[in-house]
Amino acid sequence: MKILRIVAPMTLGLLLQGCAAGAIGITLATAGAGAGMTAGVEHTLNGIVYKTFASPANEVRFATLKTLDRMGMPLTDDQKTDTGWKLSASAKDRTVDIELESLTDMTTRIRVVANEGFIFLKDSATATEIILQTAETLQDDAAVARGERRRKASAQ
Amino acid sequence: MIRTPWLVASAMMLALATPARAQYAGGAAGTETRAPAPTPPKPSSFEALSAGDRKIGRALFLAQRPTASGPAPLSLNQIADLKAHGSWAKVFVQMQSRGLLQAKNLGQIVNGYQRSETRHPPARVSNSNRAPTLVTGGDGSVIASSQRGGISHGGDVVGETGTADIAAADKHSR
Repeated sequence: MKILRIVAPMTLGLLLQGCAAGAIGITLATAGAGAGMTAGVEHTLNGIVYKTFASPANEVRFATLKTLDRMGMPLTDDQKTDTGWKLSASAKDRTVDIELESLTDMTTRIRVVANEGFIFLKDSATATEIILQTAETLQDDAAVARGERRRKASAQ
Repeated sequence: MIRTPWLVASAMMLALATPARAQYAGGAAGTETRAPAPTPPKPSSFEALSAGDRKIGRALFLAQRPTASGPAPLSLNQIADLKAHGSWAKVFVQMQSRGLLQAKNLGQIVNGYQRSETRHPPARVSNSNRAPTLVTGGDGSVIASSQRGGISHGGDVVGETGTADIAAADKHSR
């Protein structure tokens, strides 16, 4: 019984350590957007950031590639997987791993992990910024597409 | 004499301490012994191009118009790999035949890219005219907003709190 008194709180500590950043972890809400993006709540756990976009995987991947290029993070890996795409990029002593999971034809979930030097060190600030910038790129792309459609319609 | 409970407790403490160190490493980077950084990756095929070729490659990359059911857009490295096997004109034709480009010729793409470069520099912060992107805590409080002086988040910095920002953003988006 004595050992339980020591081990139980520690086990609880292990299970709850991801919640240190906020009340129940950090959540990310994107309010108002084109490209089918409305207010949503995403979660991070130990520096892993997620977001689901109401956009096809092709468009989310392209927006992610453009974002990485704009942020000056060279792509080191780009592979198609069974469920979507797996991308990797580098930034100083960090490696950024991005997984795009195609949930439906029009819905894609992005998962970003920025590993800082060693596998246990996560840079959640950079991972969050990549998702925020990707969301903005998607909005820009949607605006450009709308403009092109409008121009074509007015030309006809 | 070392007793079993103490061995178990020590092992658990070690397991607890490792991730905790990971979370706060950013704040105490100056005092801690950091793990060695991974060896830098070799330059990608795109980075190996000359400055002029990178410009054309980026112009082709940005000119792609992916669709939901269409082919996957090419990355900068994939475009650079195509260039390794031929001229830019061939790369353009290949991309056009895959349905990735709508422009009539390469010159149109490069000119369009140069015009957009002068209009919009690549580095940017969030546009204040659009609906802001908010980062919130688990209780709904806003930690950072893209609308006020760019995006700021991470660490212990709490820029903004309150759900009013979310309500305002929702109103703005409608």
